[in-house]
Amino acid sequence: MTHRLAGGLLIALGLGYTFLYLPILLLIVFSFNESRLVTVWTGFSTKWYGELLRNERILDAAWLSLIVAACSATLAVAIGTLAGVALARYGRFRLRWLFAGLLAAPLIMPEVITGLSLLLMFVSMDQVVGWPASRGFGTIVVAHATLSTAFVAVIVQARLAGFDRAVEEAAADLGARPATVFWRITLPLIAPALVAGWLLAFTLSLDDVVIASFVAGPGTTTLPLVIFSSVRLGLSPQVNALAAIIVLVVSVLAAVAAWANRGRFA
Amino acid sequence: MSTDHRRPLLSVESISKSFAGIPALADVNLQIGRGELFALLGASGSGKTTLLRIIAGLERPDSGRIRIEGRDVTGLPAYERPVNTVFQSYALFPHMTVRGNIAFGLKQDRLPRETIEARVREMLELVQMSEYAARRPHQLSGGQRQRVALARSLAKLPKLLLLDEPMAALDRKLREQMRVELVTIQKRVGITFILVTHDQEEALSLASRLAVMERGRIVQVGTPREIYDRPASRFVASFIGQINLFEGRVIERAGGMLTIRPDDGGPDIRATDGAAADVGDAVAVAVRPEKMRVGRAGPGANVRRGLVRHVEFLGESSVVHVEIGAGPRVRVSVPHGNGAAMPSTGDIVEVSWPAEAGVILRN
Repeated sequence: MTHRLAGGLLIALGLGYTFLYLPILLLIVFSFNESRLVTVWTGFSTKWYGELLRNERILDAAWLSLIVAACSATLAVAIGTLAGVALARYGRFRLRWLFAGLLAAPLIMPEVITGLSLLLMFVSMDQVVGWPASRGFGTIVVAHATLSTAFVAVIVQARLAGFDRAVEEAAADLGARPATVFWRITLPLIAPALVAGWLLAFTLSLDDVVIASFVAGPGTTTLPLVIFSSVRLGLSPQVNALAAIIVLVVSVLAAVAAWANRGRFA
Repeated sequence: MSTDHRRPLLSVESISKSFAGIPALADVNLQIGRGELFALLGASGSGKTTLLRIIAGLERPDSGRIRIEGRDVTGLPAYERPVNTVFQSYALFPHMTVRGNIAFGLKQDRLPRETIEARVREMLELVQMSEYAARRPHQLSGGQRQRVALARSLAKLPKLLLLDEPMAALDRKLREQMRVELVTIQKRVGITFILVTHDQEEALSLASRLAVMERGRIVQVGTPREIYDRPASRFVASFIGQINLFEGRVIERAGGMLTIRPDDGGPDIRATDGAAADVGDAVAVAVRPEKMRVGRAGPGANVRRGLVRHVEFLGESSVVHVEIGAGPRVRVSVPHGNGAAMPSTGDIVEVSWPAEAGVILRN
């Protein structure tokens, strides 16, 4: 990256980044504001962080969100990996186009529709098979996994397409059965993609409001839902503090995901 | 080397295979004996790699049988065949060390740890890679990777080792060195090797026997010498080495001697050949450049007069390109250092070759 940018381009770049990141930067700055009024700076303080840590409602919601995100990401990685392997390795099987299309649909489907349709499905399932008796943890996990499976499948497929098929053939040639080839060769080689996919699924779940607002139950409110509802009651600097923490967590995860998928074995 | 292809180690019986309706192999039959270093030679798309993959079990034939020591293995998957492969890309496991790569196949057989360690050590010594045992593939050069790939597939002591264009990724100098090494290693381990290559020089120098493939068929099988000296068709003649072709028609057949009247209107050509050609047949007389000479040969030799168009210097010899009237441009190989004068461009020369140097090609 020794390419020199001309002055005009540099300004455009600066404006772009400012537009994207200045609001977030302001949010973090104001999370250290002493005043109760969100928009008036009166002095530096970490008291909102302290209050946040004493707020049971927010802490419960945060804990729930983390568990939901971890569970749905794990589920999405399991299903998405199998789907990605099928797409990348099983050649042109019958109705492959349909399989690929249906798998990718959640990527482009408006979340409102995904959320609404899942809600309808859960309600009818309750009537027909008796599960889920009430909406809550389980339904949010399933709903989030539905969304993020597509992302994992795309990442895994890309990773598989990028490595030499002959490596798997060589393992089979040396006497490894298909299951052994998958566990000892394919899986280790796509591990970076699995890590990246898991982290992406985790962050997708962690900040989802739309789908969660459809499929969450009365006792299970995820963190974004809590933030959303508290903002409607009037902005508290606690929310700023919370948002600053989320920004930090998500950036760290995104950085780890990028690092994991940087293609060490290419 | 004991070469006995009457009781074959491998027998390929009427194998056919097509991909999406396009035939890749058409009724291929081949028998390979124990201890052979056999080459499958052909241009890209001739089906040689497909045949190799079918023998390995990585591809299923549409019809036909593969037998190893008489046992039908057609239905066996790759992981159950006593065959190992060196892939063109080497296909080393990037997340394992050299040692891990070589041990992989042995671990699949659940051999005792000491046996595996001993065998890995032995293989590392065989390919002179002992000091690199702890390296990862990406820390090795191309030649070193190839040695590891070879060691990995020899470690299980297969009945048959398949090599898919093993030298293609190496530079010329290394390729020549590896050729010699490959033959040495093959003799030491005594395993039958089948080598796929598009490089005729490689096939001729390495193989004990070879098969020439063209468009999904085997067009000739024989020792390098047989194939070079007695090509069975125009394709084989022109694919392997350089050759001069004189198209013509047989006008007389007497006492093992054919007389051919060339289409270019030159003097009749005499050739001794056992090939079944009758008077009136359209044939080509094929003559290798090194069997021709500039100047007049002994009595009974064929002589043509022509103009030297170009002299190509090749180190130990030069190739003189001679244009013969309305006929073909002929290449004559002239060795250096025997005192003979080298003709130069623009000279009118006589080109001659004995009757027994010409091979009659009917197709």
